[in-house]
Order: sequence, then C-alpha cells, then structure tokens
Amino acid sequence: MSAGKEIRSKIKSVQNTQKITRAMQMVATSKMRKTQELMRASRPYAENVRRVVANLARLGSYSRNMTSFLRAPTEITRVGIVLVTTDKGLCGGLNTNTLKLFYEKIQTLHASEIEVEACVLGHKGFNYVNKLGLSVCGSAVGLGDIPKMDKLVGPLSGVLNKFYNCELDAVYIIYSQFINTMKQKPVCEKLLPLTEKDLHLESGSVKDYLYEPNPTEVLEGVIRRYVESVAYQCVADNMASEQASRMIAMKSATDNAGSAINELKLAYNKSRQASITKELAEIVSGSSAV
Amino acid sequence: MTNVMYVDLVDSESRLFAGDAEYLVANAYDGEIGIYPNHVALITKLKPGVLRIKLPDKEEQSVFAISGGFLEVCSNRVTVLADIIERTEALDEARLVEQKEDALNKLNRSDSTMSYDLAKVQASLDIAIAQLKALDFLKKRSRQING
Repeated sequence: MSAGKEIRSKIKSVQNTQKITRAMQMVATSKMRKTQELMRASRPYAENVRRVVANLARLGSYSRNMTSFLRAPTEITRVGIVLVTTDKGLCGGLNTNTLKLFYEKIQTLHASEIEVEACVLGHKGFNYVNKLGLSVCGSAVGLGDIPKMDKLVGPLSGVLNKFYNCELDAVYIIYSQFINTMKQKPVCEKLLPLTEKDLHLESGSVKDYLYEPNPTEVLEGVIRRYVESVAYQCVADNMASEQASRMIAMKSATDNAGSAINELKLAYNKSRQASITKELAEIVSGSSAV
Repeated sequence: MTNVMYVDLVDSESRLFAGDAEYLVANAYDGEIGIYPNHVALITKLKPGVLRIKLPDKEEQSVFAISGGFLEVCSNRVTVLADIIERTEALDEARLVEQKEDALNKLNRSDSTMSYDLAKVQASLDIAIAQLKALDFLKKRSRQING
C-alpha cells in the first residue's frame, strides 16, 4: 500500500493549495468591489476639474499662450510615458500585456527617433523599466490596494514639471483598463498636451471669471490637478483590473486543483482495488494448493 | 430671488458635501472670503485652512479642514476642488502638532530628499495646518457658546 499512501499525501497537499487559492479568490473579489466604489467616488472631482479647465481654456485663444501647459508642440522629440502596473504578481497575464504594449510603444517611438522617459507606478513596471535601462523621471512603488492621491502627486509632478519646462513634448499613460470582471485591456492614452477633444469643449459664450491671484497661476494649478485626477482614475482602473484579473486567475487555479484531485482520487482507488484483487488471488491460489 | 446656492465640495478621492447652502466662508489666496448666493463668477486658489458652510436647515455652520485647492463660483454654483478635505469631528491636537513639526523638519533638511518626496511632505504639512486651524475655530466657537 506504499503507492496508495503516497497518492493520499499528494491529494492532501493539492487540497491545501486549493484552499489557499480559493481564499485568495474571495479576497480579490471583495477588494475589487471596494476599488470600484473608490473609482466611483472619485468621479465627481474629475468631472468638476475637467469642467473648470474647459471653462478656462474656452475663454479665448489667449489662454493658449498664457501657460506653457497649454502649448501645442509642433515637433515632438522627447516624450514621457507614465507606466501603471501592479505591485504584486499572481494576477494572470495582466502585467505581461501592459508591459508588451509599453514595449511596442517604445519601439515605435524609437523608430521615429523620439526619446522616451518613463514615470513608473508599481513594482512590476519599475523592475521592467530598470531592466530596459530607460531613464526614469519619477517612480512610486508599494501603492497598496486602495488608490491614494498623495502617493501619485510626487512622481506626476516630475513629469508635469518637465512638460512645463519644455523638456518633454508629450506625455502618455499606459495602464490596464477595467472593462468588466472578465475583460481588462491595456491602453495607452495621451495626458498632455491637452486637446479640445479631451476637455469636451462646447461652443457658447462663458462669462469671464474674477481670478485670485491671477489667471495664469489659477490655470496652471487647475491643469495640474486635472492631469493628476486623470492619472488617479487610471491608477484606480488598474487596481480594479488587478483584482479582477487575480480573481479569475485564482478561480481557474481552484478549478484546476479540483480536477487534479479527481484524477488523483481515481488513481488512488484503482491502486487500492488492484491490491485487493491481488490479495484475493493470492488467497485463492493458496487455498487451492492445499 | 433665491436665497440659497448650490455647493459642491469634492476632493480627489470623494465628494464630501453637495447641496444647498446659505453662505460659505473659505480661506482664499488673499484672505478669508465669504460667498453668498448670486456671487459674481470667480476662481480663487485656496490656502490651507477652514471652510465653513451654513446650511439652510441648521443653526451651526459645518466646518471642514482643507489643505488647499481651488474654489470656483459660476452661476450660483460653488465648486470647491480641494486637495485633501478632512471632517472635523475627531481631531487630535497632539497628533496634528506632531505631524506639523515632523513635516517642517523634513522640509528644512530638504537638500537630501528627492523632489517628489517633498510634494508628499508639503501635503502632509498643509493638511495638518488646516486641521489645527479648524480646531482653533471650533474651540473658539464652543467658548462663545459656553461663556
């Protein structure tokens, strides 16, 4: 019965693994719900900032020349990419897909002789960018399970300042978009320069505002916050994707463990039956010899 | 003529208040600013400090601590885009003073820290200052009521 014992301990160990993956699946489910709630909670701010920026930018073409944030570079020589990844693994092909898109983007940019600078959010992307040897202008790792604005402001201000000082001509953000629980898609979106389409500019006259302290400072501050809020939403989206992807990965791991257990049980029963038959045959042949 | 205005109080992570108000007092760039219904269109930067809102159905003003941000008034609608808002029900003075001192210390030896750490320290300082101001205000108010 030594084979039987071996199989039994194997079944036990697969069962333990299954317990762990099932627990992780349930944790991911509840975290995903929480992240989705936070995504929803941050929407009023994003909407309002967008509206204010749109109102300000609409006030006339003079606002274009007011701040370096609203310039529209004609020639692009250097771009920044904000790469959003997860901190932890065990979430299926999520990071692989995002990094693949990132790599393709870099290749196309390099092909047209555009320099790339990265701003990394999340541990996985940080390691990858280091491996590629790209220049990094800001990074944040250990973002946790809930998106926090204060962790993003630092690295983003690095990118924003570079754009402001004309060291970067465009800024993109790459993250994994949460479509639904089953589907996440890596996407690349443009953060800067702002276009009329981004702001949903509507035609129509607006009253001019009173500004304190002055229009330029207000506009720059509001645009900074607008970009930050867009990035925040992307990070929140990425976190929801992470949890959804982990949930699916753990669910399939649990299912696989289940089928492995079934196969092992079958093998165990077969070997048990075989040994019984063997013993019976021995007894029968023994008695007939007497 | 309406005697209320719509106030929308949001920070980057959530909406803390949305509804009608009689007036609002905020700590703007050039000093405290009071806004009543039908105010002229205005955008101002906010400094760390107290935001008070008087609701139509309440005797006392609601008090929030704001670390900074912007305030926009447009067609009888006030939008406060704050960086961080804290409710003021449970403030711990000792902890806030400590947080403020800590942030100030870090800012003073800023040469060694990277610029993006500074942004975080600055935010922590701003919200600590705002909360301490809110605490001061609440103390004064309770003294007035009691005395």
